[in-house]
Amino acid sequence: MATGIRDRLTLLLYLFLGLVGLYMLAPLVLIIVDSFSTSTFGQFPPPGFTWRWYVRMVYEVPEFRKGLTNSIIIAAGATALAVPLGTLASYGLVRYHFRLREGVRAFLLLPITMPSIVFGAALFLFYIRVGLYGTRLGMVLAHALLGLPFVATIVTANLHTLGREYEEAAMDLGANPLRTFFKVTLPSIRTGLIVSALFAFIISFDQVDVSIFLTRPRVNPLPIEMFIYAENYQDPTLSAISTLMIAFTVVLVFAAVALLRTQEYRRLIDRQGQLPA
Amino acid sequence: MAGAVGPASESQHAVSEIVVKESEGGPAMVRPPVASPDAAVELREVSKAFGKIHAVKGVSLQIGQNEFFSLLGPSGCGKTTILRMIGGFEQPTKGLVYLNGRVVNHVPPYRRDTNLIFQHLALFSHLDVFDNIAFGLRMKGLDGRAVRQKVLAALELVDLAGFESRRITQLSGGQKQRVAIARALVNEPSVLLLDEPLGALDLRLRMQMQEELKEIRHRVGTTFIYVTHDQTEALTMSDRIAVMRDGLVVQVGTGREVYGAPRTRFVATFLGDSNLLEARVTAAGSGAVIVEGADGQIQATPHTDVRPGGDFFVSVRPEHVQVWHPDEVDPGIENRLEVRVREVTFKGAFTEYRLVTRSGQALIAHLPAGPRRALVPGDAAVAAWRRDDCVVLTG
Amino acid sequence: MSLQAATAPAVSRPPWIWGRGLVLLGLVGPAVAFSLVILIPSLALLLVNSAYHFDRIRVVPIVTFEAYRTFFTDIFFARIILTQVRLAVVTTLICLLLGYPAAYAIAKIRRPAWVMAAYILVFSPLLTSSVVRAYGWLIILARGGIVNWGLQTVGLVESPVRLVFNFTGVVIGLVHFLLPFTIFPIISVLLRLDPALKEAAADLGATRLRTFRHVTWPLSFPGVYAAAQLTFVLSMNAFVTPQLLGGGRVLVLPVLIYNNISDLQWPLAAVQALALIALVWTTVFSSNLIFRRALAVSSGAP
Repeated sequence: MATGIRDRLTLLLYLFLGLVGLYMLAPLVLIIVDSFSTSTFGQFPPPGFTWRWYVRMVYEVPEFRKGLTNSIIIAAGATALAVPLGTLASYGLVRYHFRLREGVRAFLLLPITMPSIVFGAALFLFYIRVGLYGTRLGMVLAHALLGLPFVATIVTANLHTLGREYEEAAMDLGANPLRTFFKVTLPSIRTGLIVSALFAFIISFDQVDVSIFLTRPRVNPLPIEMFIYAENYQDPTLSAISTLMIAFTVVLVFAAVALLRTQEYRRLIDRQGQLPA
Repeated sequence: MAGAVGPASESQHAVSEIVVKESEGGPAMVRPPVASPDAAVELREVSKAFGKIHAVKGVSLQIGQNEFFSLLGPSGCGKTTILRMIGGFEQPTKGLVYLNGRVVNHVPPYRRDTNLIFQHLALFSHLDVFDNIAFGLRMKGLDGRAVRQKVLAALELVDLAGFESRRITQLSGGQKQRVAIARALVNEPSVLLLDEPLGALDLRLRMQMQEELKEIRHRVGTTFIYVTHDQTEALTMSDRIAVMRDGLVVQVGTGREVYGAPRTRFVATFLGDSNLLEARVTAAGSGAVIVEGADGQIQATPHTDVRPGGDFFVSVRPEHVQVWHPDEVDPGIENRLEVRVREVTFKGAFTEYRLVTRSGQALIAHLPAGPRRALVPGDAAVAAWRRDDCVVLTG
Repeated sequence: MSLQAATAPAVSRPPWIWGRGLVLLGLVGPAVAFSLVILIPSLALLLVNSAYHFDRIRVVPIVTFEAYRTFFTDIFFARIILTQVRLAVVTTLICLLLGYPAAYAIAKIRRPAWVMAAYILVFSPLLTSSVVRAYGWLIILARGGIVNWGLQTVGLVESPVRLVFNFTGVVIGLVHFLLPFTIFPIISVLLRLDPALKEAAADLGATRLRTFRHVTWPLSFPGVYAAAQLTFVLSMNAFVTPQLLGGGRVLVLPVLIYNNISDLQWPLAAVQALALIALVWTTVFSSNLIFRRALAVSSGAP
């Protein structure tokens, strides 16, 4: 029967998807498992449960702690730079028409259209000349350049969807362009701002290919420390710190989603007239 | 804010009469002048081009204080562009825009004493009703108490008392409309601009809102400039209507003038239905214009610009065409044509008769239901209408 | 005054911002200036350094172009490029083979909760660093890892198979890394397909297989092409995965560039960097040329 075959085919398809999903999750899941394993060499199945590696990670490998601190500082800095610059640039690109518009747009996308290795190597040659090599500032600037295209893309899409009517309405009611931008435009693209900030932060936090050229031991971000560690030792301490990184990122995403949802939640409350029980 | 009158020289020896440009020839129609400084809005030879597209081609208008003035026309005729130029969202390529006697071509919207109600309302969804309405007042720097007082008064005006804390997403279509109106009117603009504000509403709601707008209009002393493509709407609400087509104003006048005395075929057919008959003018006097058509002589209302020898169209509205049995025609009616009945359709409020003349021209008559001997398709009949109901079209 | 201002653009722009140019500069300027100041000198230095001389311990700023000579004459580099292209091609093919059905399945899902779950499943690895992902595969593919354990338990092999620190391991890790990028464009194009087209085909007598072959596949081809291109380019640019999972045995240009920079052989590294860009662009352009007709046909008028 055609229907029977149809359902079986579809079932196979979804099964396949499930397998692909397993494939995608496998490394992450197994890292977490390995981080608690008593075996040093990643023996499967894990012979026992221990917190040993987490303890070691916190107390015996100071590089990881320093790395985390550096990563957070750098990512925060890169985000703080990329989001305002990207938002302003997007506004200019969407609301204004000028001759070099497409050229500017392509130029701002350049850092991600070129291989990140090449980007890193080129920046390295530049940084050693201007003394930015091995500085947190240098990495903040590099990561900001990498995050800028993402911010620009997301905010541009938001501005397009928003349309000019709200800004015109604000101006019609007496707000000059500056006040319009802060009182109407920005609140209206709040979602885009939060999402692009999240993207910029995570891109910087996870960045390896470029950071590896620009860093020095004192300012190594966490992924670099992990990279170095992985090239020299391979014990579950690395799994522990990886698990921590995964957890950190997940928490970040949930925080952003919560931030986005508060607006939805507020509307929900109003509609029901009272707090849900 | 009504500014000082000026540039004095311009408004004083400006020709203070309405000049309406024709798209299809014909002279300018002169109207009893309104002194320029009194005009709430004036456009002088205003044109607007977007690259190669000429949206507005040299329009001049005067709109009086507290007038409800409509810009009526099909999509793309330039009416919204004109509205936006009055509001300050577009800059004329040529010409001058005056608000209360003052040239405002380069004045940005946030410094004009106009307020625009947008087609899609553009209510700020991140603010509640109160903050939306208060927006303009806060921009002006009013203190909290004054703001509160005015906002609540505005809500009263649009029958939304008690709605101040509602969020925009919680409102119905009609309620959103009213918030948009309140948000604009609370600023007491001297000119209120409305860009097809009722377009998104269903028919019943639209008619209801039309009445409410008229109500509000009488309570508030402001000039209303209304853009619409719906002629019924324009006729219902306006003091005067400017009919537009392809970037030009074709005719300006009261509803009665524009409907009863259209000057071009476009105006005749855009507002309501019309029968158009081709004819040549044989005589033109102070009592009537006599034209000779394919089916004989027709008398029409007097027209100053028509001279014997010219070819024109005459227009008579279907509701003015009577259909008689050949032997029962009222001899007092000036125009009578022999016709044959083609189709009879019952349309509720009236019955539509489709007729064909001897020479093959089509005529449509709308007759109210009445206790008369019904005519059926195939019957011979006489179509009749008064001279006063027949107009010569110069365009 | 600018009454004649609105001539060039087809859409009217806000006319009342005085010093419009100044405002535009203030908006777009900072981002552009920032990019310019860093990118231009960097790329310039890359070019310049590629021509310099290296005298065994450091770079000497004399123009010799010897790095170019070395690169183009030593067969070692030709082999590297071959390996790299082979790696990229294999990875792309596997990604397409896995990605298309997966994308098709995701596009088919009706219930929003399941759709969200599917997206999370496929795209969440992107939130983690490439180091984490590569290390994860290290654990999985190791001698004592789960895969070998599984194979031995089931009896397929007798002793642990070498799955990592070789070409295979890199492919496995790279496919995992790139699959989301393959799936996304394909989902996009499948979602845009009008379901009525498939229904029309069925109505006209086509079986599911024939509908796929004659309707779905040709129409989704632009998405598949975009996915393939993206996957290939990202694979060519990959560094961490080949470095960590290749164990020094899988040499690709990104790895060489890193090694050379570390060894202070900047001219050679620069040449390799430029070669990488040239290689990627050439493949992209030539494939665009080759597939131009196929793409036009798929997206052409009905």
